[in-house]
Amino acid sequence: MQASLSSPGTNPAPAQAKKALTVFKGLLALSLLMIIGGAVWYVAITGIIGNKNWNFMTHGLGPAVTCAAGALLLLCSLVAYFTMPVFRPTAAPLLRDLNRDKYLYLLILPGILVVFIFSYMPMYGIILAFKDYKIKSGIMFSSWCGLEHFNRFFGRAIAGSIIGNTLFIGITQLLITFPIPIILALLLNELKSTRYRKLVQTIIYLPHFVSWVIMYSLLFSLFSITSGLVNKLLMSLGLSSINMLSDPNMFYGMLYGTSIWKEAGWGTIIYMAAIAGVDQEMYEAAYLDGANRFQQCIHITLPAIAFSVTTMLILNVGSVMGANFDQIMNLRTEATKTTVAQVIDTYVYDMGVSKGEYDLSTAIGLFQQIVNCILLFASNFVVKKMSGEGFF
Amino acid sequence: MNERAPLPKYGKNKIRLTVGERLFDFLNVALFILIAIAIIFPFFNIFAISLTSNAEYMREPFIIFPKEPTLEAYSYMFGTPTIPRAYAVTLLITVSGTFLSTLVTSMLAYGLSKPTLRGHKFFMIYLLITMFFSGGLIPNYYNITKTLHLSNNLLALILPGTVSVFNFIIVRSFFKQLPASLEESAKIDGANEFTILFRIIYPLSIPTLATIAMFVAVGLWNSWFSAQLYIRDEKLYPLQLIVRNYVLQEAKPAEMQNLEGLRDATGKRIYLNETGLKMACAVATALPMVIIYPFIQKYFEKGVTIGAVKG
Repeated sequence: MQASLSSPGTNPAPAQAKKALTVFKGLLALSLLMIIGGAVWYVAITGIIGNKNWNFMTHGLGPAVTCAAGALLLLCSLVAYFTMPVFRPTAAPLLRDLNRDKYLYLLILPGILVVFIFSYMPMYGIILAFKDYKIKSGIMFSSWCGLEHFNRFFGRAIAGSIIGNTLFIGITQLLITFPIPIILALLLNELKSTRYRKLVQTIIYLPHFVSWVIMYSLLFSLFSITSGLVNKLLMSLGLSSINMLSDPNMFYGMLYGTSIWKEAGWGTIIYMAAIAGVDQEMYEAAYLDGANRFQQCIHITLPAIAFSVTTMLILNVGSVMGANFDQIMNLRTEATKTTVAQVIDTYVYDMGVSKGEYDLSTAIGLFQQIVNCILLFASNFVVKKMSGEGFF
Repeated sequence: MNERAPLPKYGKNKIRLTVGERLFDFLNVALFILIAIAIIFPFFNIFAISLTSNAEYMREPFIIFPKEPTLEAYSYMFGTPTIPRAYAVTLLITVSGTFLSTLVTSMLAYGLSKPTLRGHKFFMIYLLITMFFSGGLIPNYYNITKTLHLSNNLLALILPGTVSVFNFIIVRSFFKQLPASLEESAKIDGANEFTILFRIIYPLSIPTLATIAMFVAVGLWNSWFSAQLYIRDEKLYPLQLIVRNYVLQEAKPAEMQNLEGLRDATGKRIYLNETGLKMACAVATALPMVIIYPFIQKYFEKGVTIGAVKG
């Protein structure tokens, strides 16, 4: 549109065309407002009336008519836009581009549809957080209850411990596991033999590719209280066995340990890629200046991966509150699932899927998502202020 | 820096390491040997247990590798319908899901790699929003079970992950750096975008497409949660869910309950090592990934690098 406005030579009456365009934009905005407003109105009023007293003619006609009128207005203004000569300077290039790219639109259509169906349609379900859900009323006709679910959740004695667990696990796990791939990458870089390094890389990436289900099986084979190899060894040595899998006191240690075992090796991959980009002459120059290998590492290799470190840090801080659902779901046992291993994600699952309290658990999930978004943007902001390069 | 003279000596000096450096190199190599053992041993261990007979398992206090390895756990496991069927289900989900996801994601990426496409910016924002915000567990669950009626349907495990925005970004950044001249000549010959994409672009993009296909395939092979949510019928369970129920929840598959009738060749009753059977199921589930992984490793390294640079 901008392009055609700046070349009014083709237009016989530029002032008139500009005016018409303003009117068209106004109509477009109005029609969209009517459609969205009608839909919101409809959803709002169904929740207020409820399905027992619902009568479409008295309650639903207003919003439905608004919606339909908006759609009609939208259609009319679009038809006018593409047919009236006054719009030709902007409509013709648009039509030409749409026609030129019609196959491209066809190509992106399946992807856009899938995202709509599986990502956008569920967003409608978020209103469950503010409703008193009844199965026979469905989401739409269940009555509104405001912030009751949030109050209910925060009023529960367990809420504090759940949020505390989530934050504690997220933060300590980040602090403990985050530096390890960096150190491993720096050490890998110091390995002289390229073949040995490649072999080591192949081995340490491997655990990333097995599921947490298999991870539990591996743990079980080593630490099961009755048949685990480690415990059998301890017992045959006359020592007492360790109940790692279900002792609440060992749960956090098990989380950190499995995270490191499974993901630390894979975590090096991004840093190794950054290190591979370092010019080898830098090391030679540093050597000539008398820098030893430790100094070379600190002054050449480390700055080379600084950007990757920043990126990973932002990503990790952003997901502090819900990055390890799969891990916890597969490592928690009867002894730990209601205490130390209960985090927001697992609580949402237990309340929502197992107990069927859809409304409450949607509210808790929404709370978590909002906190996550805030954390992500905050960490990006802090890093941007500190180092000048943010992630977005 | 002005003296260039010492340079030739660099090569020689490099070999003459200080004692500290040599010690460091030795310790560094040793450290990685230890790490490699720590990673490989647990896999070795479940394999060893799966080969141990019940008698030996009960008798020996401590087994690194069984003295008389036996395949009875495996022959029993593959004799029941559960595991072969779960293999078929998992394979079906993985293959069809990977194909669909790679196709749809790359088509989307190709269309949106053209900045001249009207609405390009709108579609980009439309996709990126889903990276930061989603309905959440329950709204997704509700959408799939109540709105779309996909309960107990394998489509519920395949379709929702079809477009991954992360993979989309990888492919799109690859398409963007392809020279425009490739398409221009084809366009002059009258080819449309479908022909260009399938005949010209795809053959050039096989390594990148393989990368995202691998990401998707590993994710699908390893997934159990969506099956737990959406599948009620045990006959449609993928491997991971069966292993999870058996090892973690102690819920043995129904068709594996009967261990009474087991006889060896001479008609003697076989007592199966239960832990060995569990571990055999885990081995059966993990093995394909462990075997295929070294061959596909390079694709992952590439994908992570592209994804990291383009963010």
